[in-house]
Amino acid sequence: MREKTSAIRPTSFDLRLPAAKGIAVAVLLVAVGTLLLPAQPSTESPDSVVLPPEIQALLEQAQQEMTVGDPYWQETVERALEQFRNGNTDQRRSSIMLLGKYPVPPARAAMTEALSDKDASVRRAALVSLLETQMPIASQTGGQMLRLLADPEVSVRRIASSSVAMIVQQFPLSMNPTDLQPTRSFPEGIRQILQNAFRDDDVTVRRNMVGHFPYLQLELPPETLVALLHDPDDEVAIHAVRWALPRLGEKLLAQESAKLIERENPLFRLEVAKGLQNSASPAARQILKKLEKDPDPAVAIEAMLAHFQRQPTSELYKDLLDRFHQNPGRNDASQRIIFSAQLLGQAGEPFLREWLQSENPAYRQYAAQAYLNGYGREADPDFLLTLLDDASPVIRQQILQTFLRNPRTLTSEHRHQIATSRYPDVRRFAAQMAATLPAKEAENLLMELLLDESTEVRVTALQQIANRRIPGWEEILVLSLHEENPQINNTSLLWLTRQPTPEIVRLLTEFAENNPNSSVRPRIDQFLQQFQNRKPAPK
Amino acid sequence: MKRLPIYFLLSLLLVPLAHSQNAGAESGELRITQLVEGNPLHRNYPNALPSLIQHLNEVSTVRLYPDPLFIESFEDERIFENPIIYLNFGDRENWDLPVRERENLKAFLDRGGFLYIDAGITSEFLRGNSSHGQRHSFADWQIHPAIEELFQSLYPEKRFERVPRSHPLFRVFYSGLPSPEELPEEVVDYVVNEKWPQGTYSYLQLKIDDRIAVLASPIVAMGWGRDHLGAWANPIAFRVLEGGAGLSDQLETAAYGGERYEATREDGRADVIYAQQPGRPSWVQEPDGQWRIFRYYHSREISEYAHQFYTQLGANVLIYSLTH
Repeated sequence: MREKTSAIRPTSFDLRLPAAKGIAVAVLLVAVGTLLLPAQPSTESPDSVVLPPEIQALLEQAQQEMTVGDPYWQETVERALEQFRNGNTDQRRSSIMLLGKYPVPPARAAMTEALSDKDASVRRAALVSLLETQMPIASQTGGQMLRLLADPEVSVRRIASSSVAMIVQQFPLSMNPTDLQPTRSFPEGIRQILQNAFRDDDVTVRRNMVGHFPYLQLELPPETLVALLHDPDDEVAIHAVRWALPRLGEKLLAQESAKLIERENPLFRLEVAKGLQNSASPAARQILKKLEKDPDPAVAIEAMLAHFQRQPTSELYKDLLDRFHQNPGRNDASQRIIFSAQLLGQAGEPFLREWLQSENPAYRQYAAQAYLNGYGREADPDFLLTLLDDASPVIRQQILQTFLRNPRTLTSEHRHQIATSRYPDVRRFAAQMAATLPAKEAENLLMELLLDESTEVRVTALQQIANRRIPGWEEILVLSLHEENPQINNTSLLWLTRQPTPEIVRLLTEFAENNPNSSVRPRIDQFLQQFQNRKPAPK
Repeated sequence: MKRLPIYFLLSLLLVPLAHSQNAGAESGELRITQLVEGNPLHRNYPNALPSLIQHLNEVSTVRLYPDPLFIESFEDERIFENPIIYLNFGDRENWDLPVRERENLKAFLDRGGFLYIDAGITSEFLRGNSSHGQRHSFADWQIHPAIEELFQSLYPEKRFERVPRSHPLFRVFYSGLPSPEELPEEVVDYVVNEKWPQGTYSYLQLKIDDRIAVLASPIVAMGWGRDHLGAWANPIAFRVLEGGAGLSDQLETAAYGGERYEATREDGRADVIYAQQPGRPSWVQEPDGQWRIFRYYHSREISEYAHQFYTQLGANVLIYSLTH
């Protein structure tokens, strides 16, 4: 085996390529390199591929600029480009595979060019290579990739449609005053290709397109929307429901919804219930009313939730909960149901308390968030204290943050409860809270926490003792140096040496004399030496 | 792909469950415990385990409680209520377990518990960033050093060893690969003959009392999750090794700007992997001296195939652990 080139050259890409310059040239090259490429796969012989003179000139200029500093990839890429230009089909394909590993302008220009190769395997290889590089796709290259949605070879269309959401990101969004949503600006030919892809003969292409529709920001004609809702493939039709229904006019929406809820597969009804959630039309409400009694719990829950969000009542929420709890397991409505309790105002508080008892930590977290947002300020501290026993640290932190915002709601008894929690993060909070307490109470609390089993709690207690200058704090910190614990020792030394007084120097000197084998002795000696060498401040 | 008759499995199921107090849920269904350190809402592949459980409930007569029981550490005494713990290696940051956790974990395993560590095999080139080990399921036969260290401290005389391709774990419910007829032709050979031969994968086991007590694999949960419409929750691309006209020669002298790693093969030999971008293999020098390039294929058929296979693997692991 020959030695790898990089074994004798620096291996960092960033070090080799001036980043800003490289990117600028890359964008220029990729953009221009695709500008003049034919819309359809080229029928030109690959053996006689000649770049247009403008592109050739730019390519040469860019290559000259980028060879400054001798980029590590140059030799490899040039060899692959040579093979791409002069090789047979298999060699062109191989070279495109290799060029896909080099996200540099000449390689990307060749890959873009290969998207219109006469051979489908080369076009496919180029598409795969471009999708691999994880670099932003220039809009011209993106346009060329989107044209492959109309490729005669179905495997190429499948790959292009499976990544269509990523490819379109380079096309700008615009919004007209009359529009409800922004739309993406595509060149006219590309827009038509995208729209046609939703009616591709191949079901995989249609599935891909329907799955990616929300990211495309593309308008589809009503006949295409209706065709998708009636697609012979259930997966296509089901995935189209939620976004296609709201795009139909009121009359069509009512007609199509009525047909869809008669379909055997309950997922149609589920998607109709979701698709109509925000619809104010009487027809939509009638359909949702019917779906509230659906035998499929997920469908009924969605319809009930839509009803509740329009007319929140405690009775309806209870019904919703009953339905929800009858069917444990996966339900993507859970978060919305929990947060919806806030719509009840004060009447929602008991429901959220109930959610806070859920065994599912995710539900408890949603409930804690909703509860504290809605009722945290007026909440009974005794109740909040019970939540500090929650096994989830996230919930404990949510509660502690609430206490931090309203420390006056806590009595000394509450603080004692916090300081004796079984969770170190809660006890540590108790130590932090000492900053806001009267001196005597702070002293008692911190002295208690100095005996904690958790190092983090003891460190925080020491910091507070020093910070609040609790009487005798210097002796306490020096005493803690007897504990051979680096975190404790570091904390104490840091505070003792921050603003040394003669008393601190005396204590440290005494400690050093009495503990010659202590692990902190060298640091104390060093400090004392520096202290003694300090020049007195000028008078 | 073949399935074994479920009545066969059920006859086995009765024995091992007898020793566990079951578990779970008031409904009497067995429950899988899932360990997630920190916020369970931020766990990796949140749809994965519930989807796998739902799948098993649909295709077999095994009845599992639909939701996993979440715990945050082995310190939680509820680990003793259920015989199976699922743990994605990426859902726990600190593997230097406190004494209490070590004691509980050892007691759990000694009492017949089963721990599945998904992504417990994470190749060296994926270890720099925890997300890389979640995005690449790369067949390797070396346990993550953090796991090795932990279990060496618990069982000094035991080591992780590979699960042979012939092991019944790979055939306990699903057997073989899903039909590859929908796959693009350029990937079929590699998938069938090299990537997942006979529907097997790289698993490492730690045996206690001659049974698999701890099982580790590269990330497999990436292929379990379904959304509420039953569609696979996240697309999976295939990493395929390809050759081509003159490619081996070009790769042998190709410059690389990234890193060079070794990955252990099943037979102990090493592949030398070159990665142009961090955590993303570009090409490989194989033990026989051949050079091939990694290609990343994105398409729906590929993604669905990968999901089917990973779900098969997951189903086999759970059923095997329930029945052995």
